[in-house]
Amino acid sequence: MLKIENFTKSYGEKKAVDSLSLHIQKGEIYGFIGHNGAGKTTTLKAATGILDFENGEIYVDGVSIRKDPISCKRKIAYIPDNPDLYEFMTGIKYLNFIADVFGVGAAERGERIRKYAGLFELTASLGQPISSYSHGMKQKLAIISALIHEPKLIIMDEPFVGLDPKAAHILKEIMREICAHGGAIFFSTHVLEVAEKLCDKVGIIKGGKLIKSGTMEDVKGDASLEAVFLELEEEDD
Amino acid sequence: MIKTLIKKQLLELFATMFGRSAIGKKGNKKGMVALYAVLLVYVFGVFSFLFYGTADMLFGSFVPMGLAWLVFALLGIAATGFGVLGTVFLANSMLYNAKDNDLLLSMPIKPSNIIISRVFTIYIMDFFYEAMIMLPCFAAYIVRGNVSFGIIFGALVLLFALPLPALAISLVLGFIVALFSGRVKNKSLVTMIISVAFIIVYFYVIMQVENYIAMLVSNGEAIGAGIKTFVYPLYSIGLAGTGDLLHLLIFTLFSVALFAIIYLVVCKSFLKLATMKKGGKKAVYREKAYKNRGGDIALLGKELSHIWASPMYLMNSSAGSLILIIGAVALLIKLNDVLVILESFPAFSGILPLIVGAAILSISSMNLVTAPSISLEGKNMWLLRSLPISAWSVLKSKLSLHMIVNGIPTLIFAVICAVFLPMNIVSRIFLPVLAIVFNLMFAAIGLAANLKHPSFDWTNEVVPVKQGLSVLLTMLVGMGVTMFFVIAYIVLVFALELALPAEIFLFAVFVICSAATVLLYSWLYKRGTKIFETF
Repeated sequence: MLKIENFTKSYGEKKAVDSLSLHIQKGEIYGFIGHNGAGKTTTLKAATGILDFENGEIYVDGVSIRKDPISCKRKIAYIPDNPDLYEFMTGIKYLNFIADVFGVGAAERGERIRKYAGLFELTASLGQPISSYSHGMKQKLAIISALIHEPKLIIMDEPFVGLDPKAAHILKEIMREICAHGGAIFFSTHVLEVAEKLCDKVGIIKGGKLIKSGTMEDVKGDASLEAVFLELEEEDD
Repeated sequence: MIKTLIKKQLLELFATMFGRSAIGKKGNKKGMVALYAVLLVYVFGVFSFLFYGTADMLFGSFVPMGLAWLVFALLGIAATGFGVLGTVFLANSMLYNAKDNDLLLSMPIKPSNIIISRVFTIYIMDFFYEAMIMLPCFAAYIVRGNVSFGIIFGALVLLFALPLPALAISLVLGFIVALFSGRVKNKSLVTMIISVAFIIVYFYVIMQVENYIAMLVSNGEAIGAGIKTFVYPLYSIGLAGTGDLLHLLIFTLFSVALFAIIYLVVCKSFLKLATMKKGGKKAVYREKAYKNRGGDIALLGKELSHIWASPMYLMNSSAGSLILIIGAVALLIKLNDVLVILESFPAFSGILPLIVGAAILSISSMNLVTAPSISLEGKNMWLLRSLPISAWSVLKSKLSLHMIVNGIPTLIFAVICAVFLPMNIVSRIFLPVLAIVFNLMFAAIGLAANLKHPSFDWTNEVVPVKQGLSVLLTMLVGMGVTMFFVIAYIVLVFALELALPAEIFLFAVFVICSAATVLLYSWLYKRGTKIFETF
């Protein structure tokens, strides 16, 4: 579903990500972990088509994001680390805007808005301006909008930040449901317990390089993911 | 602490003024600072020139009557009005809607220090507006031979004291809007109505200036006596301007006291107003029928929602359209009077299409919808970049917004003029066409300027809308284009004495502007979209 080959991105002289390669199959949840500034957000943004890059190639469902970004973006949903949404819109206007952009039909969007807004207990607030929402409500709205076009690939940057325990639980359920239906999920997190329980594959990035990647069993073996992560972090320090 | 906060305010201001270069390459930064300085000097120069002429004319009439103080008093009012008009939206947005309010309030900083740092920025703007009027006023007075220590000292003190009443009024209006926004559901509508009413009154007064001046000249002494009796601070401004040190002291104390009282009121209520939940009673959402509008319509809808939700953006970018609509309605109401005036000046009718065309051109050039539109995406840029929409679709939605907000009112004005005013068929056809071409051109100029000089690191929308480099650049290009055509006509007809019919000149303007518009749209499509993809 997502194939990243030798992806390299520099900001001026500094290489933020250096020759990173990874492959996420349909039905997989891939957790991306690393310390702050390791290159996680840069990789996620490039995979979404937001950031241009110097070297390498990124394919979404076999299509190069460089050559045909619009076609790739139709299959993707992206949730950033900070839900900066259009505060001048109401929740429902925002959802309709996203659905319009993705060309979601009236019946399907109605059904999905009812379903997900109901699950995240946001239905009553949909008529309010986003500017009046709390951080958690904005995060829930960003998640609902990401699900409105039934994306094949969801890319999320720290999706659990700001969510209450119930909403976090629902999101995990939805992530599993999407993968069970042939979708794929690529997300970054600092909550290693969540990654350990939720992910099929995991990648550890350090200083812009993917230092470990594979199935959860391959990466952590009998140890905990936290122990492996801390060990790898300390290795070259 | 205040110093640090003021530094932060100024950093934000400079980052927006100079776009990305403010935090980028040093050489580039110097170039942008120099360019901005030139542009500011140009704007200041143009307005100063206009106000020097007005002041000189008034002194010519009033100095012999011993009423020089009345000129200072009148221009003092004009400067205060100009300052209030320029900063009325700024006060509310900067104080109560700044995105860093929560952050700053969570720090060990006194709210009064936060307020003073923001008020200082508004004061600087008020000072700029006021100096554009009062500096030429003092210059005109001094040029007439009135030089003394009192006059020079008075001028210096007045320059710094006079922005205080304007600042106080802006703070009061900002305070009222903030107070309302907690109780009224549709804050935009209320702000919009208040703003439109304010602007209509302001322009009504401006349009009546000639009558007022005539009235002043014939009743100067009586008006002077009235001001002296009923509006003492104005009398003090006037006498302070002429070098009366006692009245300088009275006015300075009055200004400082007025500002201090308003400042204390703002400080007392700041925490409550800056942190209160806005929008009144919250209604529970009731589902309505859904429909698929398509991406392009959705983008345009988003732009319309944005401008409608931001009265400051709407008024700042389409005040010219409001003037045109008011002008069109006034023309229809006073049509018979206008036709009588035109009949009594036969020579005037030949250049009437040019006058209407120049009015459309100059007012279109002041409507800056697209100039801050890229910067206004701010932290939401990730959305447009991650959605399956082309950069051209995004740019098109911003250009379309300009055409809806400004193109339609301009077209209405042009059609009304073309239908009801006496001119030949060619001019009747050309004026509406030119209205469209001018708006297409200025929409493209604004967008191109903002693509080249974007600024996304603002904490308040006022900053990119009112102080962005792209806005200033677009405004100046607009003024330049208008001046170019006016000067070209004067040179061709009056200096070279060419028999140039109005229709031929309008056609030449049409050809030049159309060519420029085609080139601009081609640039936006090819280069502009590439630039957008790098944001």
